[in-house]
Amino acid sequence: MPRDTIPPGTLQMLILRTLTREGELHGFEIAESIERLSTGVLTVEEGSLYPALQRLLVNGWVSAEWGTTGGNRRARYYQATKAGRRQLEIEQQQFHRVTDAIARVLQAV
Amino acid sequence: MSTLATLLRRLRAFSRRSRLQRDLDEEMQLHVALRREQLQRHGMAYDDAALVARRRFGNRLQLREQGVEAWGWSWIEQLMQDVRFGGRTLVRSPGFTATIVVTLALATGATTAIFSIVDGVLLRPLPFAAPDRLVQVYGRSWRSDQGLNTPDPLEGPIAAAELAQYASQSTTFSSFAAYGVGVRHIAGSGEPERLSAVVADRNFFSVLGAGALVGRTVTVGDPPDAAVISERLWERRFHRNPAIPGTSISLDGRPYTIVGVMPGAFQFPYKAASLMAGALPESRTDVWTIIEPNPAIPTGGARYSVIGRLKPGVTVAAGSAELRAIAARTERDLYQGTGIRVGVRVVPLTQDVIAPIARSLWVLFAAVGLVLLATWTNVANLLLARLTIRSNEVATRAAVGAGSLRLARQFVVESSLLSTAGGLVGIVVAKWCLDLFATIAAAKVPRAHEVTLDWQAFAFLAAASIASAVVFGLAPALWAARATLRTGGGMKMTRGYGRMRDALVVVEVALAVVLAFGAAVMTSEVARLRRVPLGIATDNVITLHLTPRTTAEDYYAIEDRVAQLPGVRAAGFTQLIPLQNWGWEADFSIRGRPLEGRPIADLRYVTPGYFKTLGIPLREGRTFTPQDDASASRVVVVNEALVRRYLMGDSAVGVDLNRGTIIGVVGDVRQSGLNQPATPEIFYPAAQNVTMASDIGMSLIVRTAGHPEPLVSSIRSAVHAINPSLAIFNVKTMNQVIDDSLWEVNLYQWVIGLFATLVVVLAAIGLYGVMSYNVAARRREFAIRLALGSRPVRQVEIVLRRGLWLTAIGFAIGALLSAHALLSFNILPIGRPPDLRAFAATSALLMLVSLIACAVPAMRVASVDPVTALRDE
Repeated sequence: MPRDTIPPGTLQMLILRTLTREGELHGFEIAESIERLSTGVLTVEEGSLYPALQRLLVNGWVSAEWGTTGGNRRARYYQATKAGRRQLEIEQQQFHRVTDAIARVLQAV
Repeated sequence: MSTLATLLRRLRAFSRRSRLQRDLDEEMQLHVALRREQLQRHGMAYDDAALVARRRFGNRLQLREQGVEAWGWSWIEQLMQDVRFGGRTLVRSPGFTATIVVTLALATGATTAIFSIVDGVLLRPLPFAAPDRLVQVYGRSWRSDQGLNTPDPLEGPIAAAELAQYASQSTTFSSFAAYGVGVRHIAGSGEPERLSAVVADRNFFSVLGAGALVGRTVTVGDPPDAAVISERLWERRFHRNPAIPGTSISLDGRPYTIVGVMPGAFQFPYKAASLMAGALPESRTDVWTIIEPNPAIPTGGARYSVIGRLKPGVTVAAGSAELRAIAARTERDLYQGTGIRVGVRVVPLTQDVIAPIARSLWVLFAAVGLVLLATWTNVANLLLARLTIRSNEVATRAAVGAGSLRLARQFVVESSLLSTAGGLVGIVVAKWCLDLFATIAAAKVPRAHEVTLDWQAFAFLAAASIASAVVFGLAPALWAARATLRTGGGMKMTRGYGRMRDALVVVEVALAVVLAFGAAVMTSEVARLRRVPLGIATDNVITLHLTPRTTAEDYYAIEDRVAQLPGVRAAGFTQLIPLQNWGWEADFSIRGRPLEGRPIADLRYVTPGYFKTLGIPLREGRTFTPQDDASASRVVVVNEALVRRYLMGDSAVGVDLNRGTIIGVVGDVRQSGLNQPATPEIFYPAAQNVTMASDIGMSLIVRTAGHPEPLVSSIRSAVHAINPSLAIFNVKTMNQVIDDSLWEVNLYQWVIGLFATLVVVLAAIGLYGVMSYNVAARRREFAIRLALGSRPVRQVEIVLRRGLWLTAIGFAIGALLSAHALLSFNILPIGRPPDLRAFAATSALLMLVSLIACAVPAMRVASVDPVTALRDE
């Protein structure tokens, strides 16, 4: 199965998108969710999820709380904040602008 | 994104950063465990699953590091490392560190102290309500009535009748208050004591807008015996008794009732002492009482100093214009036919108080600023010099991965540590300097008591320290940042580095030249003033002030008795000793010889021995004898200046003045200052006029055969044998009186001289350091030259020439700067253009110092052994 790594700079957007869709998740669930939704095409470089989450925390785009998993283990659950949703909005628009432009360049005869 | 909220989040996370690491560890561990379990569920063996899970996760340590770094305070931790490392480095070379910290502390402390003085005296508003609306009002000084073609100085006090006109007619002023300075003697419980006193109108305190510390100030409804005392007197005599209001005290034998105590910070008028130098050494006022009208004084009443308060929104110019109009009306209507003229000048009070001292303080501030600059330059130079030793360390650190920024930061941290230490010790130095200032300048500088080390001073000190860290930390930091771009062992001192040090030395030499020339100018000015003939004998002469005023019989008896003491040549009294005070001006007329304008002379009250004691030569006629007493006809002695100006050089003896018949003419004495020519003077015998002398008492002058100091106690007993109630103080030799009169130029001379010495030493150290470095750096080159047959003398010459070039450039810059400051801005208080010989001598001295500083390292070249030097490399 061919696996593509996530384009640089988009990890943050994917995390925010995942969290707005699915509510509270811990790190492993976020990674799983991204991989599942991309039907296995995109694979999160798993470790890099955590520095990215810290950066989101610094900016106040996600909040975190310790809870317990179904398997009764301690895990940190993340949730997108209101500012995080706004940020997602901005990044999505930007992303679409860029990809559309790239697509237009590629499709030009 | 809200920046503030982000900052708060960062700070909160920083406060529990160890937990942050644990949390990250825990969640990453969980992630790997969950992944492994998932893989196991897909049928993988435990070991394989664990391996794959770990591999998919990546480098956990590095990722944790990145997670922590996301919070953006790793720099704080690195900074702490830098601080620890820098601290260790500095402690390892204690001599180097101590040298820098001590020089910095001295320069920063002294600059901070002078800044506090400038701030407290010049910059801060006067401590009164709305001080910008307060003005000093001057009346016409009588000089302009002399028919001389000089502008009217308008610097005198104002007559009561004129002030009444201003007060009743003015619409621009809300109020005026008159005041005068004098002494009072307090009796009662405790020792009798002489107090520095002010008499003032009842609204004096309300015009200033000053309130009492205890009780209240004098107000308009008060009876004439109300008095306000100072906090210091309250403490000294009443032990801070809070029940002081209502207490009765006796001043000069009359009862007064204390209504309140003024806080220690309050003082008005400023310069109370300088108004009566010699007679009144205290700079602070002890007691304020109320002016009582004196109907005995004709034409206009007593004259007093006057302050006024402008109405809100009125400019000084508008107030001044209105008072001038009122003055003109007063002259026309009130004094019609008397020939008395009225004039008025309004000066903002702040300007009146600080103008006399402003230049001195700014010049001192500039001088100490130069010292600070030189110190920084020198420290930068020392730090750069140390880099030669540390180049290996820097290269090693760069090689193991320290970024150029990190290396540069290390040097900034070290210089910050040095400047912080220098600043902290500098606080002690500043405190010490200010204590010194308080003792030497209290009576000379207005507002001296308001100068303290407060937050402004600390802010200044902090700013100076930060600036110093930047100035001398930047040079090595830049060098380190650049040097690391070319890493890999080859850490040679670059050409640019050498040039930077050369430039620093040039700056130091230039600063040294400026300060040394300043010191030379002041020294030659003091020497010039010292050579000015004063007109009196100054050696073996001692002066003592006696107070309170007593009878003429007492003065004459004391003079006789002291003159007969063994070892005493002569003794006499005068009310005002030359150079301490200029005295009172008055008009006079010559019978049968009308003069154009109004002749003016200073009045002096003396006993017969005065002229002989001070060796003032008699030019014509005779001086006073004890027979010129109250029962004899009125006689006066005049000085040559009076004869020259008003008698056109004619024989003066026998000429009738309205103040007495001239019986003699004496030589001129520079009464008001060494830089002021003698003015016309009329001397009265004290026996005929003792009541006209004010209550400040008289000064006894004694000339002795040898040193006068040992005779002071026998003089004291002689005085007390005649009148035991006389207090004796201000015992000074005439030479000390002269020194005191030169205090301002002396202050300049000593302070600038001290600064100049310091900076010359710094510059010599800098020059020596650079030359030593040059010699060391070029050792190999010199060895080769020697090996090829060049003579050692030639080598020395090469090194020396370079050092002398640097000196010459610094010299030229310094000389240009000082010439500009001295000639264009006339920055120093000198009466004559400075003596060129002083410059020549200073230049020679500086050249000698530079030559030595260059020559010592240069000599080392001659002793280079080519074999050893080449083998070393």
